[in-house]
Amino acid sequence: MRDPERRRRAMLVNTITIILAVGITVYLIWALKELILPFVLGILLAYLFRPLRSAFKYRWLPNGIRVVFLFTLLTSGILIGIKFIKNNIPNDKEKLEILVRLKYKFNEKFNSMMGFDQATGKGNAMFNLISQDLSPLKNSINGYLELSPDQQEAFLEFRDGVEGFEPVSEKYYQYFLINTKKVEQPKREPAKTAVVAATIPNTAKEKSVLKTAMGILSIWFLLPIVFVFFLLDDGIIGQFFIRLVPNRYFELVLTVKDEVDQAIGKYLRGISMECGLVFISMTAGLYVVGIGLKMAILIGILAGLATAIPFLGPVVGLSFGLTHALIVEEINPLLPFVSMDNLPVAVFFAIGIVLALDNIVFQPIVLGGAVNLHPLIVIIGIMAASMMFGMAGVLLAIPSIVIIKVIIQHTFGGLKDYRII
Amino acid sequence: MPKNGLEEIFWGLNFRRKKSAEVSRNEFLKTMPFFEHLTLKQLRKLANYLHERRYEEHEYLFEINHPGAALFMIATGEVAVVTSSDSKSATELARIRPGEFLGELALLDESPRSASALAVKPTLTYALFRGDLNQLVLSEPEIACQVFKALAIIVGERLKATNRQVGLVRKAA
Repeated sequence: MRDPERRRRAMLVNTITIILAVGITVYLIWALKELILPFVLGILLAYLFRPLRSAFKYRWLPNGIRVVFLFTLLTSGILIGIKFIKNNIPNDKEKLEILVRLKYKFNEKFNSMMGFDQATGKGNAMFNLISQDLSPLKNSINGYLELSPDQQEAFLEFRDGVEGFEPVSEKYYQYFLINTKKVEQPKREPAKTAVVAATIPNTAKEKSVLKTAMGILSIWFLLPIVFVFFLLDDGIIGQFFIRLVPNRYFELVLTVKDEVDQAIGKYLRGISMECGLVFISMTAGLYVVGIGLKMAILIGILAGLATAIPFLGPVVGLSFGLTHALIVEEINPLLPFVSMDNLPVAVFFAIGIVLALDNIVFQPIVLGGAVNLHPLIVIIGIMAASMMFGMAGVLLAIPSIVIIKVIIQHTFGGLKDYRII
Repeated sequence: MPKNGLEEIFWGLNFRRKKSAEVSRNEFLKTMPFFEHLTLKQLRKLANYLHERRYEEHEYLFEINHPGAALFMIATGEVAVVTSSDSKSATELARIRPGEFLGELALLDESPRSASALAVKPTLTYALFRGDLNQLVLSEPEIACQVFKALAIIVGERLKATNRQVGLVRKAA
């Protein structure tokens, strides 16, 4: 046994070291807070890919090459995904067109459902029964989709032709006229006015965006580095931290670390697989009912990503799917009974089937053995994290909740097993 | 904190010393029955999973009835296996010396320790954690297989020895 004087000295040194370490850690977290998100995401991605590293295990294939291969796979996947989404994000002209088409199609579908005749002002039995009750809702939706005077001016300028943009099609221009009840106007000379100029980024804006993008890129450069190092790690990093643990807690810490490690890995891999399955089934479902493949993939990606947050996946799929079903001009359904008239209903059913599949098949299978988080905790956690840390909080909320839950669960169990409490 | 814990922070500064320490560690590991059939490359990989722990005199490596989680290999020092954690009522069952090991059953399951292990001299050990061995099954199955095979042989030998002892006791009775 160590003598009391030596023990006192050891305690003093340990206390000073711990205070210094905590102080430096807090300062570094505060000073380098921008690096935290790419750093933590790099670690989480390494967690996700760890089983794949073992899957590609061949005697002739060195560890480094396996990691480089996975890194290339990950980077390519991310880049292709970003490029696909970026190419399909509507520009200023397309945004205005979508609003015009939405308003037109909404009124058209509403009137057709009510059998409403513009000339006589009369409709079918449904019209007589509920049109007055639905009128405030219809007006409020129309008000929401209404173009502001500036937007109307910009739309007309896009119709006349603006450099770098295709002119607005005649069909959409007719929709615009019907929406705004305007008389057809002759095409004007193409001119860049202040209205359109305001909607298009200028060079100065582009420069500042480029500068920000470069800054973000340099920060995000950390992600692949962290990913590679954590994927290459054969336990050295964990071992270093275990060395700092006093002998009395050595086995306890190892056990808790292992359980936390497994629980987080299972949860992250489970949730990623669930998101992937929702993406595939949502894309397939929408394609089958006639939505174009490109749009079906886009809605599938968005719904798949949103599946990480409870209830958000179907909501995202439903809102984007129904919106698209409302404005789409042409469909190629694989099912013979789907037509333009019943497309929104078909989309609704397709997304309902994906939701049922997610709840009955995907979740029990892929998340069966993983940590069970109450949806309310997840939603409150995400909201709180987004208020505190913005986008970083939203991305890291779920893994953080899992880590905290697992650590609390296993640490208390372990402390009791080892008779420390 | 272990003696060389802070040194580890300054990776590379003590490269030469670390290299020679690594060689002697690998030589030591090669003498252990669990690892005698491993190649040097495999031994180096496995060494990444081993935890070096230093115990003071009269410090417990583990205590009776606590869940077992790791195998301990004694590099230097001496450990007494005792029936209780209470020093007054404890009966010494065995003495474990350098080159020997204890707590090997913890690699198979987390059943409670059947005895306590007390360092009777300042002791340096290498610990192999069950979770790490399970991970090795996936990442380095050949290494894990060798370790489990050696473990099965050791447990089998001990069972045979116990049966011989029981036979002798019965004969004597």
